[in-house]
Amino acid sequence: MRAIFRAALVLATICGAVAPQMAQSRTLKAVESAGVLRVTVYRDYKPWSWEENGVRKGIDVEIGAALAKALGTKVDYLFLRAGDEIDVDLRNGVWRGSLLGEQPGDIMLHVPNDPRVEAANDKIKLTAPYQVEGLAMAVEPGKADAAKDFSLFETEKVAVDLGTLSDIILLSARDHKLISNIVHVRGEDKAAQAFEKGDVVAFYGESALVENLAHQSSKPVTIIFPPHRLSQSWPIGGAVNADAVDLAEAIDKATAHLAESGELKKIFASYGVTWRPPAQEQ
Amino acid sequence: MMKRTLLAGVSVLGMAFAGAAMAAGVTDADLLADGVNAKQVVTNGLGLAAHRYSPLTQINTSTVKNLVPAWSFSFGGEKQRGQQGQAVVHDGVIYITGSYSRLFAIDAKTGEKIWEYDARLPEGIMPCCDVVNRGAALFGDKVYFTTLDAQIYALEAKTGKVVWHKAIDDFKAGYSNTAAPLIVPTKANGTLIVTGVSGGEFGVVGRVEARNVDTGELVWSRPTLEGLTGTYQGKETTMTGKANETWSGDMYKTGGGATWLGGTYDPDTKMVFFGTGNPAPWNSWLRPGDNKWTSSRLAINPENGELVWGFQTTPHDGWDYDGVNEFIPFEMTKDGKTVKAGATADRNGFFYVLDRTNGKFISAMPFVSKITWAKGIDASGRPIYDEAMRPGDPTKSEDGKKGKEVFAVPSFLGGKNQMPMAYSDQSKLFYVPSNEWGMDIHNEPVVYKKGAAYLGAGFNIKPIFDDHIGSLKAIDPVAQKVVWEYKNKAPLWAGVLTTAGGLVFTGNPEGYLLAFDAKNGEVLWKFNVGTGIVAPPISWEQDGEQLVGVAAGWGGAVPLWGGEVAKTFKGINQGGSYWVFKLAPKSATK
Repeated sequence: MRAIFRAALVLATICGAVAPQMAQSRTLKAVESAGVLRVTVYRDYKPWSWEENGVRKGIDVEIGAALAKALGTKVDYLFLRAGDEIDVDLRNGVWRGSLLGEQPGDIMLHVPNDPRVEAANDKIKLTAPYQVEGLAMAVEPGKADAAKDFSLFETEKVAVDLGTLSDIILLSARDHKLISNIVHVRGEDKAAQAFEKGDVVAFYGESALVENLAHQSSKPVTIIFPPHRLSQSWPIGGAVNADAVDLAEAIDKATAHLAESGELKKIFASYGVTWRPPAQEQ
Repeated sequence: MMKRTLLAGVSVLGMAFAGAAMAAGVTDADLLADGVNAKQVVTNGLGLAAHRYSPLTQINTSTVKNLVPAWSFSFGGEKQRGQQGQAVVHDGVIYITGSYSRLFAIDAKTGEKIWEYDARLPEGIMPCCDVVNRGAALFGDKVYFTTLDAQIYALEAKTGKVVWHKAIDDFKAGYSNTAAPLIVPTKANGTLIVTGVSGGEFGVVGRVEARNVDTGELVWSRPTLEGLTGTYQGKETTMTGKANETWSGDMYKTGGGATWLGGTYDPDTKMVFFGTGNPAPWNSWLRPGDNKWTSSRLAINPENGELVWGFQTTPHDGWDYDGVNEFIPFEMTKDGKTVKAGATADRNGFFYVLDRTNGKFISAMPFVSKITWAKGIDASGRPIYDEAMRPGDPTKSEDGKKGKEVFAVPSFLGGKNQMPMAYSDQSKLFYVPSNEWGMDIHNEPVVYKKGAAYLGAGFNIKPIFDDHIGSLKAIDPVAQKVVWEYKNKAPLWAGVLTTAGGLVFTGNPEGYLLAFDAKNGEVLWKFNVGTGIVAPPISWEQDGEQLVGVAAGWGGAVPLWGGEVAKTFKGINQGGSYWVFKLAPKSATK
C-alpha cells in the first residue's frame, strides 16, 4: 500500500469527500488585494528550496519572491513534503490543501511542464517553464571515461539519493550488476559528504543538485551526463488552480520577463547551477 | 459549621481512597485474563492472543433479534474520515481513538464524554492512506496511544493529562503510527509497552520495540531486516539474521518491512508476534534475494527483544503483499493430538497455520476464491511462484510504453488487509474478513515524483465477481476448508468479533453492523449506523447486561481507489461516532 504506486485514483471521489475543506481558488485580483502571493515549494530540496536556521533559501524560493515582486505583492511560502507522486503534491500544494487543513499555495513551483500532468489533473493549470532539468554525475576527473557507461561501478562505489530515477538507473544498469556498489543516501548534502570523505568516487542525481554540490566540493570533480535509456530531461515550471486563468497569464508574463532581464540566469548561477532555458512555446 | 467541615473532609478522603483504588488500575493479571473476564476489555483483541472472542451468552442466536442502540457518541469536530479504532473498557469507562489521532474517554453507561485528548499534529505530515488510528492500550492508571506523527503518549486515564510522551521516530523521515500498542508482562523488565512503526515513504525501515510503561524509556529494539542490529538497555545486541544473505548491497538499510499493524502475545510460550510489511523499492528486479524479513511473521522474546523465529509468507515480494497481518495463537487438535499452533491470513491470499513454538509450517490454504501469483504453497511453506505473474522489470520497457500487463490476484490491498479476524474457542473456526479483487499492473515510464521524472507502475484494482468484493469466511483450520461464506457488495474493511452466544459480528461500508450465526453464516440481525463501519466491534458486560460497541466512520485506504471498486461504495458518507447496543428492555419486546 505504501509503495510507489501511480494509483488509479478517482479524483472526483476524493474531491467530493473533502468538499467542505476545499480552498477557494484565488484569482489575480484576490492575490493582489490580499497583497500576498502564496508559493508552494518542496521541503528539504536543495538547491531548490530548504530552510536553514529559519532562513528560506533556494532557487525556487528566489523565483517565488521574484514572481511576487513582479505582481507587486509580498511572498509567503508553503513548504510541502513530497508525496509518492506528483498528483498528490498538486492536490496538497495547489488545488485542495492538506488533509490537516493547511491552505494550498496560489502557485506551486517545480512542477514538470508536461501536458500529461495537466491532463491527469484537471484542477490545475500549468504555467511557463523556467528550467530544463535532467540527470548528471559528478565523478573524480580521472575516472570520468569509465563512468560514462557505468562500468566503473562494477568495481567502485557511487552515491545516489534513495528512491530517485538516478537510483533506479544505477540499480538496473549493466543488468543489475552494480547493486552492491551503490551507496544510498537520504538528503541533499549526504552524497557530497560521501564523495568528500572518499567513500565513493562519484555521485549521481538531478543536474541542479549535482552541479550545486560539485560547486561546493573541495575536491576536483568532472560533471558528466551518462547516456542511458531511462535517462531523460524535463522542463519544470509552475502550476496554479485551473480557475485562476488571469493569475496564470500574469505568472507567464512575469516569468518571460525574468528570463529576458537575465534575473533567472543570475539566480541559478548563485547556486552554481547552469540555467537551461526551456524552448519557447509557439 | 464544624460538623459540615468534618463531613467535607471525610468525603474528600473517601474520594481519595476511591481514586487510589482506581489508580491500581489495570494489572498484569487483568491483561492475562482479558477475554475470560468479560466485565472489561483491556487489550486490543479481547485478550493478548487477540482471539476477539467474548465468553458472554446473553446476546445469542435467539436473543440477538432484540438488540437495540443504547447510545451513540459523536467524535465531533470538522474532521471525520476513517474510524478504525477498537475500544477498550475498564471501570465503566470506554477509551476509543478517533481519526486525526484523537482519544476519547466516555462513560460506558450513558455515553457522556469524560475527556478528549487531541494530539497536536505538526504541519506538513503526510499520512499515506488515511488519518486513522486503531485503538488505545491500558495499564495501571494510564491509557496509551500512538499518533500520525509517530509519537507515543501515556495519559492519566482519569483525566486525559499527559504523563509522558516519546517520539517513536521522526515523522519528517516518513514515519507514522496508527496501530494500538501491545502491553505485555516480562520478568526482566516488568511490564512493557510494545509498538511497531509505520510509514508512507521510501526508506522507512521496520522494527519492533518495547518501552517501560511508567517512563516510556526504551528497553529493547528489534529491526525486522536482516543485517540490522538490535538494542537492549541502550546497548547494541545481536544482528537480525546476516547482512547480505538475502539482500544485495546496502538495500537492507532501507528495505521496508514496516510493522504497522501492531502485534499479539502468547501468554503460553511468552512470545510476541508481529507481521512485517512489503520490501522496498516496489520493483522486485532491483533487489535480488528473498529480502528477509519483509512480508513475514516474526516471533520475538519480550524479555530481551531477541528474534526467536521468522516465517516469510512472500519471499522476494513483487506485488506489495504487505505481510503485516495478525498472528493468532490457538490450540489445534488434529488426529487426537493438540498442537501449539498459530494462524494468519496473509495479504497474499493464503491462510497459514504454523507451529508457534518454532515457526515451522503446518498448512496453508487459499482463503480467497482465486489466486494467480502462486500455484500453491510447497511442503516447506514457500510459495510456488507463477513467474508469468510477476510484474515485469520496468527498466526493460521501452520509453513511453506501458509494457506487459499482468493481472495478479489478490490485489495489493490484499485478500485481507488491516481488519482483524476472530477465532471462536467455541466453534473452533476462524472468521476471516476478506476481499475478492485483483489488479492490473503495468509499467508507467512517465511518472513524476518530487518534481522529477521517475519510473512507476500503474495499478488498477478490479473486482473478481460481478456481485461482490467483500467476503466473510468461516475457516476450519484443521480440515482446511471454508465452512460458510457471507458475500458483501462493497469491500469488507471492519474487524470481526465472535461470542459464546454462537454469534459473529462485523460491520460493512454500507453502514450495517451485522450479527451472523457462527455455525452457518445466516444473518440474524443488522442495524445501520448511517456511515460505513471499518472498525472491530467489542462486547463486554456491565451491570448484568451484555453490550456490543463499535466505532463508525467510513474511510481508510479503500475510498482512495477508484475504477470498478469505487462503484460498490458510491455515495457512502463520512462520519465519526461510537455506537453501543444492548438487548431491548423486556417491556418493549415479547
